[in-house]
Amino acid sequence: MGYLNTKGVKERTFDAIVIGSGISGGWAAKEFTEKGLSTLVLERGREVKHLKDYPTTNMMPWEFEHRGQLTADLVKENPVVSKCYAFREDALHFFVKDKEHPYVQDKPFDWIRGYQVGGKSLLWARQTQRWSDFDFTGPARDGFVVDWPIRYKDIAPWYSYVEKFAGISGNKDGLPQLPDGEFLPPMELNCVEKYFKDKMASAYKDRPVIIGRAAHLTAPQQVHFDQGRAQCQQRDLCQRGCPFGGYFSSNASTIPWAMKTGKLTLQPNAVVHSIIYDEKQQKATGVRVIDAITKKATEYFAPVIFVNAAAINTNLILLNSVSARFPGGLGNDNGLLGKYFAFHNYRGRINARYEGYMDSTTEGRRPNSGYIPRFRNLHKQETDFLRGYAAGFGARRTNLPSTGWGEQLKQQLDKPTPGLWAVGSHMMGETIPKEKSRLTLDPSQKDEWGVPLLHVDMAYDDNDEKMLKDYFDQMKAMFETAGFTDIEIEDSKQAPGLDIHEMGGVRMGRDPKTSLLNEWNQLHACRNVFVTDGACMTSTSTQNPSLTYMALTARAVDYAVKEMKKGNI
Amino acid sequence: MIWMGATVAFLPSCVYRQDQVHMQLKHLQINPDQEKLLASLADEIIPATQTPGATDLGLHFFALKMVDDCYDSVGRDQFMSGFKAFAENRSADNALTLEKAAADQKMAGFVNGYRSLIVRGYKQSEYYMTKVVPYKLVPGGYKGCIPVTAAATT
Ligand SMILES: Cc1cc2nc3c(=O)[nH]c(=O)nc-3n(C[C@H](O)[C@H](O)[C@H](O)COP(=O)(O)OP(=O)(O)OC[C@H]3O[C@@H](n4cnc5c(N)ncnc54)[C@H](O)[C@@H]3O)c2cc1C
Repeated sequence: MGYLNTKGVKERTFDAIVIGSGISGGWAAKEFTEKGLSTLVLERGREVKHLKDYPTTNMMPWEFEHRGQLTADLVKENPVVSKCYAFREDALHFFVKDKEHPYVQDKPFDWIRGYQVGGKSLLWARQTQRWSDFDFTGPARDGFVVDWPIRYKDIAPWYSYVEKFAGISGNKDGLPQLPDGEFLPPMELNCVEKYFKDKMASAYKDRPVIIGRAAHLTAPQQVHFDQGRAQCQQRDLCQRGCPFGGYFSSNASTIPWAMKTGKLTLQPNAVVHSIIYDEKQQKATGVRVIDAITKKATEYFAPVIFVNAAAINTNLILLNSVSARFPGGLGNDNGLLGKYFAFHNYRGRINARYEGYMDSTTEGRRPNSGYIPRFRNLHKQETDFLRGYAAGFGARRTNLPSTGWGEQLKQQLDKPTPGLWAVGSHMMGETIPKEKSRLTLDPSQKDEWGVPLLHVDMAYDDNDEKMLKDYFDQMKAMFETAGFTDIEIEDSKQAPGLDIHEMGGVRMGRDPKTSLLNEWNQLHACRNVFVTDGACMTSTSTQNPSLTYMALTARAVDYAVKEMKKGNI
Repeated sequence: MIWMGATVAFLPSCVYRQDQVHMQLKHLQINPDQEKLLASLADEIIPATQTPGATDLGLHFFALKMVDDCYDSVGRDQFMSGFKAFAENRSADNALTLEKAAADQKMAGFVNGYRSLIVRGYKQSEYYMTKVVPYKLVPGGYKGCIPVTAAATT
């Protein structure tokens, strides 16, 4: 590779390098810079500045040429990303189009990406449920993968730490499977959701219905004002970027915070090609970067490197970081790098109507919904499949469909008549990571930055199918108990990946023989490289994972800096 | 590509030339007579009363734009063949209403599809979203349970 950069090595040397500026990389940047380390964040995408680079944020619905809808050409050119519900006319510019970074689907896999400063933190649905010991002890109890090297008590203080800064709204529900956090006031369940909650509480011992815990400033504190953020206005247009900073994104929160320390160097359009391993020093010394536009190569150096490129790209970077010491990828002594990759099963949906509360309705919008924490196989194994699922739940008042033609139709449109309530739920199932579910590099094809194309090879298994059926059976029974009608179940049959909760490949564990990372997210075999995004996850739980990435990241930076001070890194 | 938005469509009709279609389309072939028919059908779906109707709001242009850009080629062909069938039947029988045509297998797809595009265009027009059922860009909150009679906005 041509080494063309003329700047001196000194100018390209930092105290810490962070790869990626999304949810986890933003946290690494904040923590390192706050602790006084000069930190380089390398981001393959373009700069997206809070407020300034949200071009659609204040547009009215009628100002969109197709009122939000995708054109047929866009759908045709983007069979993968156009499946994501948030890939709409107002947020197209924050998603990677299919052709921009190709990959090989050995089996169907939808890889949904946001390459820009902020990554997918601009686009996420902001659901932030803590994991519990039911999750961290799951593999040990049920005998799959390897034991997590951490327990809830290890991460609990870090959940609190990141929650206070990010701002998480939620209700203290006192549930062991979904521990309470440092909550701002909860959003509100509506009348039919409350009705369902009460019905379930009387019909079942174990099926609480709660309002989702979500990264929205329902009552901003000083630490949020200090970030320049303000109260969430419940516009529910979050995917455009929020002019109030009402929800947590790297762009509104961690990145500007890190910038204020004066210690951050943020380098957009910097595609990390690989991590450089020095045989003599027996550690990583820096990273090789390809300029996204000019394709020029540059090397940057630091004593510690955090890989936060989002689960799949993190695997890709490590697999591509080959050296004489690590011919199969950095830290990959046991051949497990890229394996035991997993995701969440989001295939199940159920919709129905409810003919109660006919004199009531809602007003305004709510960027959040109800949540039913996992109840299956929670305290003990009770079904013919392992683990369980959480579920989203929501209700909204609909209007009667308009009928007829001409003046009659117009009158109905001008004075809509409220109809029944529409209720719905979707499944969030834990999947079991398997050795054969894996990411590998193509032996010959490369992308335009000289990085091998990635192969993705994984599928649903029998456990997933059984769990899906159970979700349908249970949720249908729950809906019937509540007197909901016109119940329709739907298997979306969506491919793995569209859940956008991809995890694993560089899993944590106690034993270097069976895991890549230790309990501090540190590569067993290369101690100055840390992985704290989804790639590190040993198992998948049912809860949305990003809050856990934030907590693991803050915890790992704290550890890394202490180790550096002790001279161990 | 020119999209004649609601404001443009409020201009007096003399800006329309007789021999030309008033918007550029990428795929659909629409001649001025067909455009006229689509405009009058739009007004049959949502007529001008004391308040603006479909063509006042440019909704026939919106519908064509959506078919042209957002329908795939199969959908576009179905739309056009249904429309042509309707146009033929209508010229044979001036009393043929959209409602009646909706019962005919050949025309139903076009008639219902066009109706829902016009309805959608109406409900998502600036006029409707500011004057009829006001849309709030910044709602400021969410009320989970209020009497239907008190509800003001969506
Ligand atoms: C529509 C949608 C809804 C979601 N809803 C939720 C939810 O409700 N709750 C939840 O917990 N999660 C949700 N997620 C998932 C969530 O967005 C991700 O888990 C989270 O963003 C992961 O953080 P990350 O830092 O690992 O990756 P990202 O936020 O994706 O950031 C990774 C960054 O690394 C950069 N990068 C990648 N490769 C390289 C390279 N080689 N060199 C340099 N930079 C690189 C990327 O450009 C990107 O900016 C959702 C995602 C989407 C898209």
